[in-house]
Amino acid sequence: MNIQYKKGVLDLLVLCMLNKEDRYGYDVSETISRSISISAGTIYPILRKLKEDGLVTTYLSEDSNGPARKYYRITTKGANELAKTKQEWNDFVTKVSIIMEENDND
Amino acid sequence: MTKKTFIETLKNGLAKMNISDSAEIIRDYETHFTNELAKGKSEEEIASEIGDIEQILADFSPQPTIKTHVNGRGALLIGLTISDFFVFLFFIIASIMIFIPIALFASGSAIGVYYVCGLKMVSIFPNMPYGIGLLFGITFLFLGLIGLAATYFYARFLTKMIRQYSLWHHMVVSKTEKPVLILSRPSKIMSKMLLISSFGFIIFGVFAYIVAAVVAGNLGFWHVWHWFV
Repeated sequence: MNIQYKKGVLDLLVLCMLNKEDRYGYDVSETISRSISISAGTIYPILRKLKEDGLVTTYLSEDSNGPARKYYRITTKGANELAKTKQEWNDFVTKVSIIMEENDND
Repeated sequence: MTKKTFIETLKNGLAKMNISDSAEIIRDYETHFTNELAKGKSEEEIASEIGDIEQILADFSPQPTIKTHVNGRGALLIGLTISDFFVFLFFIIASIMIFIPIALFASGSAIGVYYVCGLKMVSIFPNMPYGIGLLFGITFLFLGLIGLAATYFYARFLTKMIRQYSLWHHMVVSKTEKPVLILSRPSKIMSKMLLISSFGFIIFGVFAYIVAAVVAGNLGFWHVWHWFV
């Protein structure tokens, strides 16, 4: 699948996941790459950009096994942005399917 | 590539871009290595799965955006309003000035038609033998065409300036990146017309002068025919 398609929706997917629960970077990266094939390093720049834009924050949390992990948490601004983007995405997908169905030859 | 080389390359690349939170970024990648190593993968394998390091660095490079602080926004809007006021005045004056090429077009064509048709009813327009009147008439018609082309190009130039300013205004207000201004190409007919009518104006003007001077037997032929008295 075209990498440009994926890059457009990765922000949305990351925000979606963080809206459900706080996660650390590796966890986000792992979960997404299980269903969508992306290079393992792709998610970290996205997480950082979301943080720069104030859509997520980070905190360190000690885990029982191993060193402290950097967790990402969605902010109110991030949740608002997610609601908006989700709506836009759903509208977009609906319109794309309609056009595709209308022009289906089978 | 080993973990050490990967982290070092990343660190150096981020340092070159003056990225302040590089330690945080590095931490994410170190955690990534730790987790993947725990799965039993080799460092080389993990590094190659992470992807092209140049691409990752490019993803971290600062985006060209205009950052305005919240407390600076009021001042920005006041400045923008003042700038808008003066630019608006300038655009009004510049728009009014389009009457110069329009007047050139109108008067050039009118005088041209007057002489080409051999009309004689306007007493302030000097009379002359018809052949010479025709030559001067054509010269004026070319001048009219120059006026028409000038009107077109001036209007185009003006529209471009106004669009560029409004795009800039929008960009400053919404803090987006500079949009690309897409302009239609200038009409080829208008460019050709400007070129041809300029040549025509010069050639016919010179020709009419020479013919008039020869017929009147005087370089200042207007004295002979009692013009401008």
